[in-house]
Amino acid sequence: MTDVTPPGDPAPLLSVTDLSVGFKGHTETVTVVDHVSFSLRAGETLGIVGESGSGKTVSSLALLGLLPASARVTGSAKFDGRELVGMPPRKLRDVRGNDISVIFQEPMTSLDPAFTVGNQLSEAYRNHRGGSRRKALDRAAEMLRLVGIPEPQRRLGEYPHSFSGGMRQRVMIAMALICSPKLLIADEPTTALDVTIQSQILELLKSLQAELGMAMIFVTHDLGVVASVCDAVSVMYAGQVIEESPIDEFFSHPLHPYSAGLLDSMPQSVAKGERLRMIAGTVPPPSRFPVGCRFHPRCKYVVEACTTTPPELDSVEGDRKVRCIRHAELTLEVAK
Amino acid sequence: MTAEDQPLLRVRGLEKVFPVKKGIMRRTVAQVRAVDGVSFDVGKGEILGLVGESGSGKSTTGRLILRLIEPTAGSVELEGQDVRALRGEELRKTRRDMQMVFQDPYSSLDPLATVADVVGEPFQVHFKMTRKERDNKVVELLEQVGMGSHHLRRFPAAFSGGQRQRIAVARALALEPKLIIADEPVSALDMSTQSQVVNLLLDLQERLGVAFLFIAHDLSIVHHASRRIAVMYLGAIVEVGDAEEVYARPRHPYSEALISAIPVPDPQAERDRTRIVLKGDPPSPLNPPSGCRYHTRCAYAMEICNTVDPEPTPTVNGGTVSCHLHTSGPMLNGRPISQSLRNTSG
Ligand SMILES: Nc1ncnc2c1ncn2[C@@H]1O[C@H](COP(=O)(O)OP(=O)(O)OP(=O)(O)O)[C@@H](O)[C@H]1O
Ligand SMILES: Nc1ncnc2c1ncn2[C@@H]1O[C@H](COP(=O)(O)OP(=O)(O)O)[C@@H](O)[C@H]1O
Ligand code: SF4
Ligand code: SF4
Ligand SMILES: [Mg+2]
Ligand SMILES: [Mg+2]
Repeated sequence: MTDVTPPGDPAPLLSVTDLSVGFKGHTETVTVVDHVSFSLRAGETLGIVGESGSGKTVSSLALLGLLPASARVTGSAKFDGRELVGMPPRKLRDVRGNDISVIFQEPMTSLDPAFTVGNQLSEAYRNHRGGSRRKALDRAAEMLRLVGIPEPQRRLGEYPHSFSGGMRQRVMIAMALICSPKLLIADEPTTALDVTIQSQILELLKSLQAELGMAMIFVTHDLGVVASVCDAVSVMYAGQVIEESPIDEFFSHPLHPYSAGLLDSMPQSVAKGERLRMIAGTVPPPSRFPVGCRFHPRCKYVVEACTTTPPELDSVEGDRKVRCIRHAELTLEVAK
Repeated sequence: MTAEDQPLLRVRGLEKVFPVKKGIMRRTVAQVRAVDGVSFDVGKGEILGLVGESGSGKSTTGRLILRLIEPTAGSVELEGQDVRALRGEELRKTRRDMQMVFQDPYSSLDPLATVADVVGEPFQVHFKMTRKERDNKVVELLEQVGMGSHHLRRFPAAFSGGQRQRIAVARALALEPKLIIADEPVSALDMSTQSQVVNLLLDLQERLGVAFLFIAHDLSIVHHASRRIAVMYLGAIVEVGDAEEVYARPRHPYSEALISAIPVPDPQAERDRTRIVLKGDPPSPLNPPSGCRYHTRCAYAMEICNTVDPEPTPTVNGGTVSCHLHTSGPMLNGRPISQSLRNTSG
């Protein structure tokens, strides 16, 4: 936990309870996010990890009301005392600009190529905070400086295509932070970038967070990134949260067999040149989620009961949660 | 040189200049030096890792070796044969010996061809085989990459990313190549699938003695799978050497920065570490810096670096590094940066 909020603070900034998302198909509705719950406090960073298609992006879009009309969203997401699920679109747009910001994976698609960077940044500010163009442009230059773009005044007049991928991502971060949000949702913000640029951006986000005291949700599938920026992690598998733990506990003794499998498959857990450990099989698509425990066809601890009984997300050891009927009897070792 | 100590692949002074064209007249307005004097060897049955930032020229190097594009200068020898001098039947034979596996398993396979067609196509091109003979071969290959014969008549769309990458590898294996150039074979895959594909490459190297040029930007995977690593920056190899040496005791400031940037899955280590945050962005290959190509971002840059391009200096076990720290200034002479500079640079 960061020192912004003392541990045990009773009022989380965001608390998501039983969030579900279904998409209407030709014949039936397919549930892709199923009773997802998590919470985070001001100044805290929660990592959401999971393989592609596990529901990470859909969960975060659902919070923001950004899903297409074919999506059915149920459950609750309380942000700073207000319910986001079912909030009228206009009010939600207000929350999105003022208090919650998002950074998406692909920076080029998120910036409008037809307008200068200065124009886009200052409009983002004026839409929510009002004030003069002059003042908004000053603020925009200030933000560009903060995210480490040299000569910010000159850069304001340029179009997105004249920025490199790493710089565009920094512009997106400036855009997301220009209204000083209370919560930043970053969906794989560094996946498409080189490691050197990724490390620039991670350092930048950490220092901005310390400065501005905002909370972050960091969606990623890189466990190294989780270890470097998060306070707690929520692991998703086939549309469900299967474990939520503070990071030190998660990395030293994961509670769910899938979490242990992911940690174990990293090159760091075997000697150089040896075969990597693997989780056999693949993630099923939402229309074919197995009955019982959704992980059971790939689990090496599977027993008869796992194939019939869907496990609940149980609270253990105070602040940890796990969805596995055998969690109390299993001791999962992770090689170091 | 005897055939014994001759490397499988020998690349010397490889260069590729792409023209940048503009306007309706397609006039050449600039030149990109995508690959700018690259030299290295790959031994028989060896895995050589090639790492570097996006745009540094890794894929172009791979394509030049296969002669998918023609080099501007330099030579590529496979078992002592100059690949550029080959014509006709000899070129076809050499092409069989070198195969490529591409980064994106979703777009690299023809969506309308079955697994039998995709994997069996090389047999059709190079040998006249009956369909039955071909199918038998394909089943053998699928087994090599851990896939059952029941997949024969299925289409790529029915497979996961990892399975498609296996199919691509099976196809590359069809003509029993001596070298496979794997261009980011796991970058597009999920965590648990990445290890499946890396293990497959290690198995094939061990069982069939295939050599690999393993191109990737994930250094922890490259380090794990490769015997040696070459580090590329802006069209040139700045350091090459034993994988463990380059990873644990880098000699070049860019290798050092690249390695320090990898986040490791250990929260305590992440809190304790000092990261080298590179300043600025990679320079444009349209207008590369003078002298050492890394000097605009290097934390150790000296006067000489602005004007003189550093020559390679030997390190250990046949490795080399191209950096003035080794020949002027502190005179590291091939020793790791960490040991030699700790006291002087703090
Ligand atoms: N056909 C082409 N015409 C012009 N420029 C090209 C061409 N192909 C590559 N380049 C340029 O050559 C340089 C090296 O490209 P290359 O694809 O080899 O990089 P890479 O190291 O494989 O990068 P990545 O990690 O992004 O795959 C880049 O600046 C690229 O834009
Ligand atoms: N607009 C949509 N309509 C129907 N299905 C969707 C839509 N968006 C996402 N899905 C499905 O929801 C599941 C979860 O997707 P997503 O949240 O994007 O996964 P990830 O964890 O990779 O971010 C996937 O199976 C995906 O195909
Ligand atoms: S419930 Fe059973 S199958 Fe699922 S993770 Fe636990 S042990 Fe494995
Ligand atoms: S030659 Fe100079 S600028 Fe280049 S890497 Fe070495 S110290 Fe840095
Ligand atoms: Mg996603
Ligand atoms: Mg490439």
